[in-house]
Amino acid sequence: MLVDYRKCDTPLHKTNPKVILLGTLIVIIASILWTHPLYCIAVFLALIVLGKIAKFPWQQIKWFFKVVIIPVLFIMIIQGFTLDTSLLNASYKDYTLFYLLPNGRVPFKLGGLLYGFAASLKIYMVVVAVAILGYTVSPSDIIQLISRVPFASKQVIFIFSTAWKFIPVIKKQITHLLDAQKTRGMELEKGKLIERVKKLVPIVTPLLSNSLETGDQIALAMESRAFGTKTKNKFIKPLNFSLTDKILYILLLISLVLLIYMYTLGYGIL
Amino acid sequence: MGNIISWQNVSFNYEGTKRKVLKDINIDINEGEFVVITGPTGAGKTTLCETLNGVIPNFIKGDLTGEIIVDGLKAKGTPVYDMASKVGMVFQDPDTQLFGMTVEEDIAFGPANLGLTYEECMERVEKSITDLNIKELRDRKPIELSGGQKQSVSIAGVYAMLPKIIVFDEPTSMLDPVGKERVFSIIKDINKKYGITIVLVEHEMSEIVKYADKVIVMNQGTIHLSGKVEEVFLQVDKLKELGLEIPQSIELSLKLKNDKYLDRVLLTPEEVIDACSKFKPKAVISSKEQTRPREEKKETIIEVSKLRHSYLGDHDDLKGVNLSINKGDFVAIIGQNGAGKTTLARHIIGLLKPNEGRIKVNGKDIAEKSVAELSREVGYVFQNPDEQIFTDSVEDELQFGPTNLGKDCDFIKNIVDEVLQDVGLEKYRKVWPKYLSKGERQRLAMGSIITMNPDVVIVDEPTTGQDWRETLWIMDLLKKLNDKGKTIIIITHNMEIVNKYCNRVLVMLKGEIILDGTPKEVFIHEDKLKKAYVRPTDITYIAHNIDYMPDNIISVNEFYQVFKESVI
Repeated sequence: MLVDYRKCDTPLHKTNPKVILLGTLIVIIASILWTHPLYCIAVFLALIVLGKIAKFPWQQIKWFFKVVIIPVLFIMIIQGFTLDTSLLNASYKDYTLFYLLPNGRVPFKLGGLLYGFAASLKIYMVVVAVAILGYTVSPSDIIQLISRVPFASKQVIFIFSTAWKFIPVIKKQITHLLDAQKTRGMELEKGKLIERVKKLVPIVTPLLSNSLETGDQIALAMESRAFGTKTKNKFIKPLNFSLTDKILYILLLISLVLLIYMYTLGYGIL
Repeated sequence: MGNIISWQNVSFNYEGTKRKVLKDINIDINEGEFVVITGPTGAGKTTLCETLNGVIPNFIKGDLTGEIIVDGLKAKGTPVYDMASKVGMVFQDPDTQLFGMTVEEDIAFGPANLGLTYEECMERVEKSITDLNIKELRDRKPIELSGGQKQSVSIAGVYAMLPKIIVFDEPTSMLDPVGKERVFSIIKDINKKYGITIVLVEHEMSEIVKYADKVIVMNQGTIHLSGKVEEVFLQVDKLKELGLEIPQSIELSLKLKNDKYLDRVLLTPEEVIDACSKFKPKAVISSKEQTRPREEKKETIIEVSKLRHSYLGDHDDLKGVNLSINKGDFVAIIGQNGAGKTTLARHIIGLLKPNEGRIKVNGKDIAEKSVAELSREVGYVFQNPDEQIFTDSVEDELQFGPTNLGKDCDFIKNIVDEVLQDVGLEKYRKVWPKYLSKGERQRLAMGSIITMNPDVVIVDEPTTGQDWRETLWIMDLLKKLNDKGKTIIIITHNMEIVNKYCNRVLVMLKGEIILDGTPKEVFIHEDKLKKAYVRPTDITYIAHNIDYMPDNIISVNEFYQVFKESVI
């Protein structure tokens, strides 16, 4: 997750995870269907408001906004020059802002620019929605929700969630191994790319053997706490569905239906 | 109370080997007892415990003979997960035994596996966090906890399964003194208040005597000694033979008993304080009377000025540290985890860059030097040897550093031969380092730095998880280097080795050096040490608490001499 879950006393944190999950799903579907920037801006602004309500730590994803800004600008410019505007509905789709080359060659069209802008905004929409989901819903609640899906194997879900949790442990091991190499006179930052990659080879064996050892210890500790027993696991956390949750859930379901129906009528499309 | 555990003629060898790691073990443990299993590394302590819950032979394969009866059940044929409701097990490394996203979930993990409903699991969680007094951790993420807190949560997770027996395999070996105290106090409560049988594998003898009902000393797969604490610890010679640490209170009271000052051997520092306080002093000897011998002026090798560092930017982890270390010094940096010890050391080797301030090594600013360049002058041995060993053989490992430094073949060959001998690994020259014991791997890690011949060697927690014999081996090796003129800096929680080997101690608290001096000078500042969560050795603690004894006593012999001169 971009932002880790934090237990807080905000309306969003108190909302049933199912509602938030559905909300996130709607944002994802909207981002797939819509191409009109105004619609995307509206959703993006709504997400910012929700983030404010949830006391979302915007600082933590500031780096993402910065990193993605270059590809985003690149997408907008490329679309401005290259998009086949005949695919768009808007009346101003062929309005040309400027030409790259003299004599009206390589036009930069408003339709393309707006399409690129919407496409870029959609990236931010999805990322922010998923980040808010991760921040407001405990990962274990998400796992619980997924495990209620009839065909989902609890064992597989547990393996994934455990593996996810041990990423920082492995990351720490890699950092230590690289640091240890440096303190033994290895210049990791010097040399050509291939040389630098070659210098990383010695850490592969200890990393693998340390990881296997860690895996073994985890498995042993898990079995020692009765994991794998034949007794049926009845640990299902009750997820409270308050009246507000029910209303929100129904409203979101209606929004989803409307979104799809309006899309078929051409709404949200540039 | 009757037997709850019974090992009957138990022998075991690992799959593919013939060497018996357990040899005909016969021993019983009564319900509700607090039993400590100790002995040198490789004695078979962990192996013996792993037979209790079926880890051996179900998980770790091998030839297990004899019978192990646990609460009326034969452990040999029962899967680990079925034994889990009878025997809980807490391991050394808390990071590999926490599975939940929050503490609450982690504690519920075991009960959930036992088939309990959500409500029943939550009842167990509630009981666990209440009994173990960790309610404040309930909603925290395990990854954000300190070592001591993590281990407390691991114990709570096992305790929530309500087993009759809990086995602790060196549960405090990775913790700082505060964490250790917290964990030991929890274990004691589980036993004394809630009657759970405790089997604790432990090296630290001074802790053992405070809690145990029974001690089992193992050596080479056999039971070497067993009995009540006082019975076992009276056999000092046998314990010393095995290279085990003798608690200072016992060592001292034994000397005093031999000289007829005491009529029996005393086990705990408190008993010694009580007994010695009854003697009438001739005069109170003030620690101030003892002056520090004049030291000749030495050359400065490391100079740190106004060093400030912040990891997250919200607070300073080092707050303008000023420090000057002389050539040939043997320095200990002590303080609780998070005090800034390792952060300071990592700046000196260039792995961290300061936010403010500068560091000079051999008179030159290190700001522009890479870590690799600096490694010619400063060597760093990591806390966990497995994180710094890369190669396929002991010999390759020792060659790795000097080869990177561009040393010629003859130099490398000679120094590798010399260091192999120094670290006692000649016979393992071609062996894959993973096959070595932890102590041997620690020595190899140190050897791999020594072959680079740096002027300064920094060792982060050199003795963590080692038995006393191995601890002394490692420290003697550092002393030899120090005698050759190398400057040694160690980061440690072991105050006994600080007293025995170091000529200078730096006590750190919240990113600052709050005390700096010889061990004698530092260990008289009881209040500041308490603030830094540093507990001096038992002998210093005893001296501090006897009115007529000076505060700066740091060894048993010194105490003994001063005591004889002081009392009527």
